[in-house]
Amino acid sequence: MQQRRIVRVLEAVASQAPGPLADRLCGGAAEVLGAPGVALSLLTRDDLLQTVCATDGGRDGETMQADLGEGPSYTAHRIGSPVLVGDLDLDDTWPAFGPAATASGLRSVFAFPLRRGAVRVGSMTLYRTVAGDLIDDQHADALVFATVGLDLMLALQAGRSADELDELFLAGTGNSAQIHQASGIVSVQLGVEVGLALAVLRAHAFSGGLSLREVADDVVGRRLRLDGRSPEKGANQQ
Amino acid sequence: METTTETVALRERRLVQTFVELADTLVEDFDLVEFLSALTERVVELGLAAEAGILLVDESGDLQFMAASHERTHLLELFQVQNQEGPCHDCFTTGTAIAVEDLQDERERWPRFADKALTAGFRSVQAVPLRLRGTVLGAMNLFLTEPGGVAEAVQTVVQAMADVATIGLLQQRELHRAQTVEAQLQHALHSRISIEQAKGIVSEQADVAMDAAFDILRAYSRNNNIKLSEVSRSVVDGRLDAERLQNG
Repeated sequence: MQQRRIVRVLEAVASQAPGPLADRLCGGAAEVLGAPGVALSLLTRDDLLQTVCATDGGRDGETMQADLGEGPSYTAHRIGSPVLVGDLDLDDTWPAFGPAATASGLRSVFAFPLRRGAVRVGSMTLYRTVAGDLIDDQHADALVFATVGLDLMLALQAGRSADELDELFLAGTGNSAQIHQASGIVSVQLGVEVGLALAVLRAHAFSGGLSLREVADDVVGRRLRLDGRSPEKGANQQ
Repeated sequence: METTTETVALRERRLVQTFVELADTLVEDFDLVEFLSALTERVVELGLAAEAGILLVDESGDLQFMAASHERTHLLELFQVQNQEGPCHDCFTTGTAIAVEDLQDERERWPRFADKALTAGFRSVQAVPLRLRGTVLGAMNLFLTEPGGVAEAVQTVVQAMADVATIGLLQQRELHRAQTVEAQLQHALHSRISIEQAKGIVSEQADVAMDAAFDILRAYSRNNNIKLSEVSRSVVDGRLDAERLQNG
């Protein structure tokens, strides 16, 4: 039943006018989630907000937040769970952003963290000019868009080229324990952050024609190392 | 089986005590994974099963492992295969409890699950839904070493334990304002994912197996009274490493 949700999300992305995957993701989200403003932004440790892709309305909203140094994108990233404001007129969470957003004609805003476990890279934020909460279905779809968005951001951070990204996603957005364990292992082997390690795993799977899960199983089973060294037989076993 | 008034009374007393203890932990700032682990441990202590675990559905509709009475890789794999087949899979899709009296009779129905479960030494299983109004959020899975399954007389107890798990899930305090059930589910799953990421890091740094890596994380969490998900996050962020965990 839920699997159809992923299909719906990916179809919406695929049906957008040709262009970079990131832009099509925002366009698809705007359409499916009924929010003219959509933006995906990276947030760095020093609280720098960098918008990677956005519809026009989304870009304005993110610029406003970046200028003021506060807003739903920051909050969602910090707390690691969605921030849902169905009526900005009735909300006083952000003393600067709130009034500025209302003055610009925005009435509701919904921010979702781009997160997987302890990996947090930024947010996907929806802006609407009418008040009202997301309906359950839109909320569930938004969570899927945010998951796809996270994988996209990680791939971009890992320096994958734009024309490669589409195919990279055919490897799927795996979510098994082994994939997360393997991300941790590879992060130590390569001395990189766990998010980047996940992107490296995905790229390795893609280039080898394997599924992400297969590569993860090999890493966890100590049959494969991604730092070029050969795996030691029997290492890390009981 | 003995069912004298005395043993029934004793069991009831232990049961009440268990629910009070569980309710107690919900009052403070609690760690959901620890709470669900404790709950499955109580299921075993009460003699309802040999091992027990809890699965939650993720945003893609897959069942993900959350907590178990014995956090061991063999059990993890038994949960994982249930994305395709098994009592939890059926329990989740139908929204009703699934009881299996003898796994040897289910080899055709669930070839992979039955094989794995029998190899692990189990003979009967039960899956009960974690339900909230009309929605199924996941399932609690009980494994028994003898055929026959969970006794009729304690079925209500098992469902009550599953309901307590659901309550725990909805009681997470770290969330911003009122949240949807999906967001609460996702928050829970992220705590679990953080632990898996940290397990991978610690296993590589300390050169130990995954199960031992979990034990290192949990020992540090308990010794220092820091939530397991927070310890995991510190490991992933690079603020804690295996050496410090083992010395602390």
